[in-house]
Amino acid sequence: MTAKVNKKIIAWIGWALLFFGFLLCAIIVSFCIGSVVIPLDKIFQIIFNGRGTQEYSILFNDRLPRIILGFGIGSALSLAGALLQGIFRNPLVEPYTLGIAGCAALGVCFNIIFRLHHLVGIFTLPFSGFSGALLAVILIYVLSHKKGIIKIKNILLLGVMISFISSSLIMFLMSISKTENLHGIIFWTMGSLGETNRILVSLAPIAAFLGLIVAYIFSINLNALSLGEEEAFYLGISVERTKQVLFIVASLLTGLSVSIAGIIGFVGLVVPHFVRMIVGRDHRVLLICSFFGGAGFLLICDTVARTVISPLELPVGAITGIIGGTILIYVLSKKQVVL
Amino acid sequence: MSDCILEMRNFHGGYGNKQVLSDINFSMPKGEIIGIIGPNGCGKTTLLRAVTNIVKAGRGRVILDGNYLAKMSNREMAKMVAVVSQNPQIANINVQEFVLMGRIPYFSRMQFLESTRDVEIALHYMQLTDTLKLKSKSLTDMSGGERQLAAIARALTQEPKLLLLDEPISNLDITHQVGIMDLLKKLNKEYGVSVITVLHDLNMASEYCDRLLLLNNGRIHSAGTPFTVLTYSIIEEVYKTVVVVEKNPISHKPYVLLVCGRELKEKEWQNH
Amino acid sequence: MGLIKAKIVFSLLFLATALLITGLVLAFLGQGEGNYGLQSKNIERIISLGPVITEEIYLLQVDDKLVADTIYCTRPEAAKKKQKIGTVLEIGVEKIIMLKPDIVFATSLSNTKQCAKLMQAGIRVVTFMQAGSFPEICENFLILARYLSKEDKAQEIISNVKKEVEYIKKKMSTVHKKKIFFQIGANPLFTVSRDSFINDFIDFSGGLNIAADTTTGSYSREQVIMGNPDIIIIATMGIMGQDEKKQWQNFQTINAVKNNAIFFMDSYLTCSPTPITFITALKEMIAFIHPEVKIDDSQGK
Repeated sequence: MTAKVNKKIIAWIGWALLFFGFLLCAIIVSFCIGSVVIPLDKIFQIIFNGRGTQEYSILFNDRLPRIILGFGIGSALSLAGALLQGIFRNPLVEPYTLGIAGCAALGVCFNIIFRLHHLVGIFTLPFSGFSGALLAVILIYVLSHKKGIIKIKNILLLGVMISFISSSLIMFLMSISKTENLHGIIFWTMGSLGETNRILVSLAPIAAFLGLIVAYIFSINLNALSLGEEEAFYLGISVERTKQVLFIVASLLTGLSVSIAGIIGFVGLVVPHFVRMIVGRDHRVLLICSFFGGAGFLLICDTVARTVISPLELPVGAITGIIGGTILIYVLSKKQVVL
Repeated sequence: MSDCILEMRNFHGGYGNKQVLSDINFSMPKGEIIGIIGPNGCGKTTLLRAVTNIVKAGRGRVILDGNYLAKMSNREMAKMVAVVSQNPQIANINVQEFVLMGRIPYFSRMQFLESTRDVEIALHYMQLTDTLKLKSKSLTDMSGGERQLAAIARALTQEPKLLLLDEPISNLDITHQVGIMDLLKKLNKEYGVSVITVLHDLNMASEYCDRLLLLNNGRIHSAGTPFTVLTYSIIEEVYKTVVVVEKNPISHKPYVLLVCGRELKEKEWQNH
Repeated sequence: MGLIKAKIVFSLLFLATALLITGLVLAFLGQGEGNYGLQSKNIERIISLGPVITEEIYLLQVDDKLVADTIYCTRPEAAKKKQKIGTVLEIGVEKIIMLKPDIVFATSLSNTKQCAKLMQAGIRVVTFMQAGSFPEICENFLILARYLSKEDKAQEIISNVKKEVEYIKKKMSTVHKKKIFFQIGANPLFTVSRDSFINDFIDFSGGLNIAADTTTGSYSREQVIMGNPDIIIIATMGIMGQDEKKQWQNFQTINAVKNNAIFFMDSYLTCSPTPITFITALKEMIAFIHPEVKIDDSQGK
């Protein structure tokens, strides 16, 4: 009797450890590989004795912040995607398809053009990203509760439209902006883990981790929600509160990610999907594996992006799209997947 | 704690601005099976929803086991009342996991994993509903009848005092129909679970229910034992169709016979 | 495996994650600002992030110290052979660190975050703002020379150039000014305002920039038609230049089109001038605008 339960839990622990291991490997790979390959044994030497050498500089000034950011943002986006997919019970949902990221981008764009961050300080950038994200969430929430627009398919359509409108607005802002601003915007929309501000960089993984903890508290609720909102209600779940809290968490994570690292798509869509196919739909294992998986995935993509045509750097968003999309298509074609 | 598991006093309620139910007054003693019957759209499902607080009272009160429903938290309600919906969403989840979800109302604040006791309870009810053999099967791979049994198992795992079912047998073959109704009867008699079930089939309602509530246009038209409610005049008044009421030869409960309209006309013509 | 054990393992995993994050973040924050090396020591290894800077380094004859430049640094020919560390807009930070430069010269177009990373790694980075006029071009050149201890040479070059420019200005001041439209971008149409050194080209060579008052540089074809320039100069961007010429030829009311006075100038020459190439470009422009005026090359030397 109890053996069945134990099997399930053992499987979960196994998966969680596996994905954690994947993350650790991705971190190590990111440390070692770049336009200069530093083998693993040398790394320990450098960390302890190498202060002042070039390799030390590369590891600590260039690669370490990238790793911290990649960890934080990959996990945040992936978690946000998993949460949104759980709330909407729809596998096509992720921060980008709902227009959340588009609006966050718009917020940051606005900030750059009107130079608000010069007035009030560097934190207005993540703040404007988050405000944009929250605006999109509120819009979707309000419109989806109005009579006649309650169906989930309509929410998706709404999200796509918001996404399009945001991109168009961004293009419009770009066309009327001065050249100096233009560069800033273009760099930023291409998605990059090159942020240097210490506080922003450190904030990313901490925020993601906090998001994970909050999300975990609602993991049972998400499981119940997968049976339908009414059924979840009958199980004693406070459905509205669950949706509200998780909406806010997802938009916080997205807004933060977009404002620090620009537009990096696909992570929120592909990783939870892929993880769900492997570990199942129970959110108690899905959330944590998506967390680790997303972080590892982004780190690997970033390593590819900055190594392939070194010394030039590809935008990491392009790599996540290519690798992520390819993996997903391949897996879907092989397996009959029922979500 | 009172004798009545459910009491509805002067209940008016509906969806948004539309009031569906009016003047609902009845009390249900513990240990009964009540059947809710009535024509399409008369508010049967709405009535069930009113008991679980999805449909809120515009006026009036709902009292569950002596406590006001409006003052109960969702969780407390879930421990007392369990619902088997008409068409639950089919999720890709295996039966054991599905049934285990019935223990959610009992999870403590920071509990994430089911305790061994939770699992035992779930397995017990799966055995009761004869779904234990299906425990690793996915809901998507099962027949309607099996799914219904799994849903009942899940509802029972909530260990409710009151079980609500919304047309549990409407889409099933007679084997499953009788099987499920017999199960409800057994739960009621042997386990003391109070049951309210919405039924389309008047005869099933008559066979299995202690009392019937006949709804019409959001109001209670008649309430009472099958003998008092299932008379041809009442049925014709509410359902607007001619019926003949006989006695079931085994149980002696009222048995409603439907009449083909054409045959009736011919007979009337013959009698003239 | 009991339930308790399972809970413990899960909690440990969370803890491990928290520790991992904390460890990484602390290691990162624990980095002090990199040592800038010894400030006053000699500059032996230079990296340039812009074509103008590269060219000027060759002018100052310190190109033996130039360790790497961008892929767009193609003048003089020798610059092509230097190691490449990226484009004007994006550089390979790791590669630059490995090259151990004593100083990195950046432009206003350089990626600020990447430059910040270089500085955090202890590398000296000096950024040159885009010059908006001829005096600013000379000013930038002088600043560069100071870093490279070649101030004298720079002064020499600048004073020669200034003399020549004065001579040209004087000569062209009496000439009848022609209306010029200088196009530096297509789709959307872009021109130069008063605040650009290209405006100085136009000014010094006896021309009048019809778009001098523009604020963003964005200009419409209609505005050009209204302005009716005598000469249209297109800073070439490959085949786009030829297409643009054909486009203009549709508008027969413009003087420049009537008189077939649509010219091309090398965008490299016009958009990234050193003091010396400034003169070259200036003379070229005069040849287009006022071919009747003969500039004596020996003047000002």
